[in-house]
Amino acid sequence: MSSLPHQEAALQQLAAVPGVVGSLVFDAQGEVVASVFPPVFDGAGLRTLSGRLSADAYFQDWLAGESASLELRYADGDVLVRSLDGSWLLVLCTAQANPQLLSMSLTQVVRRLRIQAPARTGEFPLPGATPAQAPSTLERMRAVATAELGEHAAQALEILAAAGPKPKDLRAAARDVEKLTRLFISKTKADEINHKMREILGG
Amino acid sequence: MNWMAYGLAALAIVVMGVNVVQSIRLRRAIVGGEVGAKWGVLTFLIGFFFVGYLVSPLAIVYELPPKYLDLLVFAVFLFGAVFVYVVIGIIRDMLTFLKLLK
Repeated sequence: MSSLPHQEAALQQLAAVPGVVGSLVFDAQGEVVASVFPPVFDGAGLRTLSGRLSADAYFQDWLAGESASLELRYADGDVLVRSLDGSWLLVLCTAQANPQLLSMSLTQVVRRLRIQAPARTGEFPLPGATPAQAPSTLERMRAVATAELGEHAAQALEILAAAGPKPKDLRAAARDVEKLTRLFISKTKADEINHKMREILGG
Repeated sequence: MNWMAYGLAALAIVVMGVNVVQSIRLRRAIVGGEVGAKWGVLTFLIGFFFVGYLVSPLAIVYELPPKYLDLLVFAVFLFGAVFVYVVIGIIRDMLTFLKLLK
Protein backbone atom coordinates (compact mmCIF):
# COMPACT_ATOMS: atom_id res chain seq x y z
CA MET A 1 0.00 0.00 0.00
CA SER A 2 1.47 3.36 -1.03
CA SER A 3 -0.89 6.12 -0.10
CA LEU A 4 -0.41 9.63 -1.40
CA PRO A 5 0.12 12.45 1.12
CA HIS A 6 -3.20 14.11 0.27
CA GLN A 7 -5.06 10.82 0.82
CA GLU A 8 -3.31 10.27 4.12
CA ALA A 9 -4.07 13.86 5.19
CA ALA A 10 -7.73 13.55 4.19
CA LEU A 11 -8.12 10.34 6.19
CA GLN A 12 -6.30 11.89 9.14
CA GLN A 13 -8.78 14.77 8.99
CA LEU A 14 -11.59 12.24 9.18
CA ALA A 15 -9.91 10.42 12.07
CA ALA A 16 -10.10 13.66 14.09
CA VAL A 17 -13.91 13.60 13.98
CA PRO A 18 -15.27 12.35 17.31
CA GLY A 19 -16.59 8.81 16.99
CA VAL A 20 -14.59 7.89 13.88
CA VAL A 21 -12.54 4.76 14.54
CA GLY A 22 -10.76 4.61 11.21
CA SER A 23 -11.12 4.86 7.48
CA LEU A 24 -9.63 3.45 4.32
CA VAL A 25 -9.73 3.94 0.56
CA PHE A 26 -9.76 0.85 -1.63
CA ASP A 27 -9.92 0.37 -5.37
CA ALA A 28 -11.90 -1.91 -7.70
CA GLN A 29 -9.22 -4.63 -7.39
CA GLY A 30 -9.69 -4.70 -3.63
CA GLU A 31 -6.32 -3.09 -2.95
CA VAL A 32 -6.17 -0.79 0.07
CA VAL A 33 -4.92 2.50 -1.37
CA ALA A 34 -4.77 4.44 1.90
CA SER A 35 -5.71 3.57 5.43
CA VAL A 36 -5.84 5.27 8.81
CA PHE A 37 -6.86 2.75 11.43
CA PRO A 38 -5.65 2.12 14.98
CA PRO A 39 -2.93 -0.58 15.17
CA VAL A 40 -5.44 -3.06 16.61
CA PHE A 41 -6.91 -3.41 13.10
CA ASP A 42 -4.35 -5.47 11.23
CA GLY A 43 -3.61 -4.72 7.59
CA ALA A 44 -4.43 -8.25 6.43
CA GLY A 45 -7.93 -8.02 7.88
CA LEU A 46 -8.55 -4.68 6.18
CA ARG A 47 -7.27 -6.07 2.87
CA THR A 48 -9.58 -9.08 3.20
CA LEU A 49 -12.52 -6.77 3.89
CA SER A 50 -11.80 -4.51 0.91
CA GLY A 51 -11.14 -7.54 -1.29
CA ARG A 52 -14.48 -9.12 -0.40
CA LEU A 53 -16.41 -5.88 -0.87
CA SER A 54 -14.88 -5.07 -4.24
CA ALA A 55 -15.38 -8.66 -5.43
CA ASP A 56 -19.08 -8.50 -4.61
CA ALA A 57 -21.09 -7.87 -7.76
CA TYR A 58 -23.95 -6.21 -5.84
CA PHE A 59 -21.52 -3.86 -4.12
CA GLN A 60 -19.93 -2.88 -7.45
CA ASP A 61 -23.37 -2.39 -8.94
CA TRP A 62 -24.93 -0.38 -6.11
CA LEU A 63 -21.94 1.83 -5.52
CA ALA A 64 -21.01 2.54 -9.10
CA GLY A 65 -22.07 6.18 -9.37
CA GLU A 66 -20.15 9.24 -8.26
CA SER A 67 -22.48 10.03 -5.38
CA ALA A 68 -23.29 6.47 -4.33
CA SER A 69 -23.19 5.73 -0.66
CA LEU A 70 -23.92 2.85 1.67
CA GLU A 71 -24.56 2.87 5.41
CA LEU A 72 -24.46 -0.30 7.48
CA ARG A 73 -25.79 0.19 11.00
CA TYR A 74 -24.85 -2.16 13.83
CA ALA A 75 -25.47 -2.09 17.57
CA ASP A 76 -21.89 -1.00 18.33
CA GLY A 77 -21.27 1.26 15.39
CA ASP A 78 -21.75 2.11 11.74
CA VAL A 79 -19.86 1.40 8.54
CA LEU A 80 -20.18 4.08 5.87
CA VAL A 81 -19.04 3.64 2.30
CA ARG A 82 -18.82 6.47 -0.26
CA SER A 83 -17.98 6.10 -3.92
CA LEU A 84 -14.90 7.94 -5.19
CA ASP A 85 -15.33 7.24 -8.90
CA GLY A 86 -13.56 3.90 -9.28
CA SER A 87 -12.53 3.52 -5.68
CA TRP A 88 -14.36 3.72 -2.36
CA LEU A 89 -13.96 5.34 1.00
CA LEU A 90 -14.94 3.12 3.93
CA VAL A 91 -15.38 4.64 7.38
CA LEU A 92 -15.89 2.77 10.63
CA CYS A 93 -17.41 4.80 13.43
CA THR A 94 -18.96 4.20 16.82
CA ALA A 95 -22.69 4.54 17.48
CA GLN A 96 -21.92 7.71 19.45
CA ALA A 97 -20.65 9.59 16.36
CA ASN A 98 -22.67 12.71 15.57
CA PRO A 99 -24.40 11.95 12.22
CA GLN A 100 -24.54 15.60 11.08
CA LEU A 101 -20.90 16.29 11.89
CA LEU A 102 -19.88 13.00 10.31
CA SER A 103 -21.88 13.71 7.17
CA MET A 104 -20.32 17.16 6.78
CA SER A 105 -16.82 15.80 7.37
CA LEU A 106 -17.40 12.96 4.92
CA THR A 107 -18.59 15.33 2.21
CA GLN A 108 -15.49 17.46 2.70
CA VAL A 109 -13.10 14.50 2.73
CA VAL A 110 -14.71 12.87 -0.30
CA ARG A 111 -14.40 16.18 -2.17
CA ARG A 112 -10.74 16.43 -1.18
CA LEU A 113 -10.06 12.88 -2.27
CA ARG A 114 -11.87 13.40 -5.60
CA ILE A 115 -10.35 16.78 -6.45
CA GLN A 116 -6.84 15.76 -5.62
CA ALA A 117 -6.96 12.27 -7.06
CA PRO A 118 -4.78 12.09 -10.15
CA ALA A 119 -6.68 11.52 -13.37
CA ARG A 120 -6.90 7.84 -14.18
CA THR A 121 -5.27 7.10 -17.49
CA GLY A 122 -5.31 3.33 -17.50
CA GLU A 123 -2.65 0.89 -16.55
CA PHE A 124 -0.52 1.35 -19.66
CA PRO A 125 0.32 4.71 -21.20
CA LEU A 126 -1.14 5.42 -24.60
CA PRO A 127 1.31 5.72 -27.51
CA GLY A 128 2.67 9.23 -27.61
CA ALA A 129 1.39 10.00 -24.15
CA THR A 130 3.57 12.28 -22.08
CA PRO A 131 5.19 10.81 -18.98
CA ALA A 132 3.65 11.49 -15.59
CA GLN A 133 3.78 15.17 -14.72
CA ALA A 134 6.10 16.33 -11.97
CA PRO A 135 4.21 17.32 -8.83
CA SER A 136 3.09 20.93 -8.79
CA THR A 137 4.51 23.51 -6.40
CA LEU A 138 1.41 23.24 -4.25
CA GLU A 139 1.63 19.44 -4.20
CA ARG A 140 5.26 19.66 -3.07
CA MET A 141 4.31 22.15 -0.37
CA ARG A 142 1.54 19.82 0.78
CA ALA A 143 3.99 16.94 0.87
CA VAL A 144 6.40 18.99 3.03
CA ALA A 145 3.59 19.95 5.43
CA THR A 146 2.43 16.33 5.68
CA ALA A 147 5.94 14.96 6.14
CA GLU A 148 6.91 17.53 8.79
CA LEU A 149 3.67 17.75 10.73
CA GLY A 150 2.35 14.20 10.36
CA GLU A 151 -0.92 13.82 12.24
CA HIS A 152 -1.00 17.57 12.97
CA ALA A 153 -0.96 18.52 9.29
CA ALA A 154 -4.72 18.93 8.79
CA GLN A 155 -4.86 22.70 9.49
CA ALA A 156 -1.74 23.40 7.46
CA LEU A 157 -3.20 21.47 4.53
CA GLU A 158 -6.40 23.49 4.81
CA ILE A 159 -4.40 26.71 4.58
CA LEU A 160 -2.59 25.38 1.51
CA ALA A 161 -5.84 24.17 -0.04
CA ALA A 162 -7.33 27.65 0.33
CA ALA A 163 -4.30 29.33 -1.29
CA GLY A 164 -4.60 30.76 -4.78
CA PRO A 165 -2.40 29.55 -7.65
CA LYS A 166 -0.29 32.73 -7.91
CA PRO A 167 3.26 32.65 -6.48
CA LYS A 168 2.46 35.45 -4.03
CA ASP A 169 -0.55 33.49 -2.73
CA LEU A 170 1.61 30.41 -2.27
CA ARG A 171 4.27 32.47 -0.47
CA ALA A 172 1.59 33.90 1.83
CA ALA A 173 0.25 30.38 2.50
CA ALA A 174 3.78 29.14 3.25
CA ARG A 175 4.22 32.01 5.74
CA ASP A 176 0.90 31.14 7.38
CA VAL A 177 1.82 27.45 7.69
CA GLU A 178 5.16 28.43 9.21
CA LYS A 179 3.42 30.78 11.66
CA LEU A 180 0.86 28.12 12.58
CA THR A 181 3.64 25.60 13.22
CA ARG A 182 5.62 28.11 15.28
CA LEU A 183 2.57 28.86 17.41
CA PHE A 184 1.26 25.37 18.02
CA ILE A 185 3.80 22.69 17.09
CA SER A 186 7.45 23.73 17.50
CA LYS A 187 9.88 26.44 16.53
CA THR A 188 12.34 23.90 15.09
CA LYS A 189 9.69 22.39 12.82
CA ALA A 190 8.57 25.88 11.80
CA ASP A 191 12.15 26.76 10.75
CA GLU A 192 12.42 23.47 8.87
CA ILE A 193 9.14 24.05 7.04
CA ASN A 194 10.12 27.64 6.26
CA HIS A 195 13.43 26.46 4.81
CA LYS A 196 11.91 23.68 2.68
CA MET A 197 9.03 25.81 1.39
CA ARG A 198 11.43 28.60 0.45
CA GLU A 199 13.40 26.04 -1.55
CA ILE A 200 10.23 24.94 -3.34
CA LEU A 201 9.15 28.51 -4.01
CA GLY A 202 12.61 29.48 -5.19
CA GLY A 203 13.78 31.65 -2.28
CA MET B 1 -14.36 36.80 61.23
CA ASN B 2 -11.60 34.19 61.10
CA TRP B 3 -14.09 31.50 60.17
CA MET B 4 -15.19 33.54 57.19
CA ALA B 5 -11.54 33.92 56.12
CA TYR B 6 -10.99 30.18 56.48
CA GLY B 7 -14.16 29.51 54.49
CA LEU B 8 -13.03 31.79 51.66
CA ALA B 9 -9.57 30.18 51.72
CA ALA B 10 -11.15 26.71 51.49
CA LEU B 11 -13.31 27.80 48.58
CA ALA B 12 -10.30 29.34 46.81
CA ILE B 13 -8.31 26.12 47.33
CA VAL B 14 -11.10 24.00 45.82
CA VAL B 15 -11.48 26.28 42.77
CA MET B 16 -7.71 26.48 42.26
CA GLY B 17 -7.47 22.69 42.61
CA VAL B 18 -9.96 22.33 39.76
CA ASN B 19 -7.88 24.87 37.77
CA VAL B 20 -4.73 22.79 38.34
CA VAL B 21 -6.43 19.64 37.00
CA GLN B 22 -7.91 21.50 34.01
CA SER B 23 -4.63 23.17 33.10
CA ILE B 24 -2.70 19.89 33.24
CA ARG B 25 -5.33 18.16 31.08
CA LEU B 26 -5.23 20.95 28.53
CA ARG B 27 -1.42 20.93 28.58
CA ARG B 28 -1.55 17.35 27.28
CA ALA B 29 -3.76 18.46 24.39
CA ILE B 30 -1.37 21.23 23.31
CA VAL B 31 1.40 19.91 21.09
CA GLY B 32 3.97 22.65 21.71
CA GLY B 33 5.17 25.80 20.00
CA GLU B 34 4.83 29.26 21.47
CA VAL B 35 1.33 28.55 22.77
CA GLY B 36 2.62 25.35 24.41
CA ALA B 37 5.45 27.27 26.11
CA LYS B 38 3.05 29.95 27.35
CA TRP B 39 0.67 27.30 28.60
CA GLY B 40 3.59 25.74 30.48
CA VAL B 41 4.21 29.09 32.23
CA LEU B 42 0.49 29.38 32.95
CA THR B 43 0.37 25.87 34.42
CA PHE B 44 3.39 26.65 36.59
CA LEU B 45 1.75 29.85 37.86
CA ILE B 46 -1.51 28.03 38.57
CA GLY B 47 0.44 25.40 40.53
CA PHE B 48 2.32 28.15 42.36
CA PHE B 49 -0.92 29.91 43.27
CA PHE B 50 -2.39 26.60 44.41
CA VAL B 51 0.50 26.01 46.80
CA GLY B 52 0.16 29.60 48.00
CA TYR B 53 -3.56 29.13 48.57
CA LEU B 54 -2.90 25.92 50.51
CA VAL B 55 -0.53 27.62 52.93
CA SER B 56 -2.43 30.91 53.13
CA PRO B 57 -4.59 29.85 56.12
CA LEU B 58 -1.33 29.42 58.06
CA ALA B 59 -0.88 33.20 57.83
CA ILE B 60 -3.94 33.51 60.05
CA VAL B 61 -3.06 30.59 62.30
CA TYR B 62 0.45 31.90 63.01
CA GLU B 63 -0.62 35.55 62.90
CA LEU B 64 1.88 36.59 60.28
CA PRO B 65 3.35 40.05 61.02
CA PRO B 66 1.88 42.84 58.84
CA LYS B 67 5.19 43.51 57.03
CA TYR B 68 5.32 39.91 55.78
CA LEU B 69 1.62 40.01 54.98
CA ASP B 70 2.20 43.13 52.84
CA LEU B 71 5.02 41.34 51.05
CA LEU B 72 2.74 38.37 50.41
CA VAL B 73 -0.05 40.57 49.06
CA PHE B 74 2.23 42.42 46.62
CA ALA B 75 3.87 39.15 45.53
CA VAL B 76 0.37 37.88 44.69
CA PHE B 77 -0.25 41.12 42.75
CA LEU B 78 2.99 40.62 40.78
CA PHE B 79 2.34 36.98 39.90
CA GLY B 80 -1.27 37.85 39.10
CA ALA B 81 -0.05 40.52 36.68
CA VAL B 82 2.34 38.02 35.04
CA PHE B 83 -0.53 35.55 34.80
CA VAL B 84 -2.76 38.08 33.01
CA TYR B 85 0.15 38.99 30.68
CA VAL B 86 0.58 35.33 29.67
CA VAL B 87 -3.19 34.87 29.21
CA ILE B 88 -3.30 37.92 26.91
CA GLY B 89 -0.37 36.43 24.95
CA ILE B 90 -2.25 33.16 24.47
CA ILE B 91 -5.42 34.97 23.40
CA ARG B 92 -3.37 36.99 20.88
CA ASP B 93 -1.90 33.74 19.51
CA MET B 94 -5.38 32.23 19.26
CA LEU B 95 -6.65 35.25 17.34
CA THR B 96 -3.68 34.93 14.98
CA PHE B 97 -4.58 31.27 14.52
CA LEU B 98 -8.20 32.13 13.70
CA LYS B 99 -7.03 34.73 11.18
CA LEU B 100 -4.79 32.11 9.55
CA LEU B 101 -7.77 29.81 9.10
CA LYS B 102 -10.15 32.50 7.81
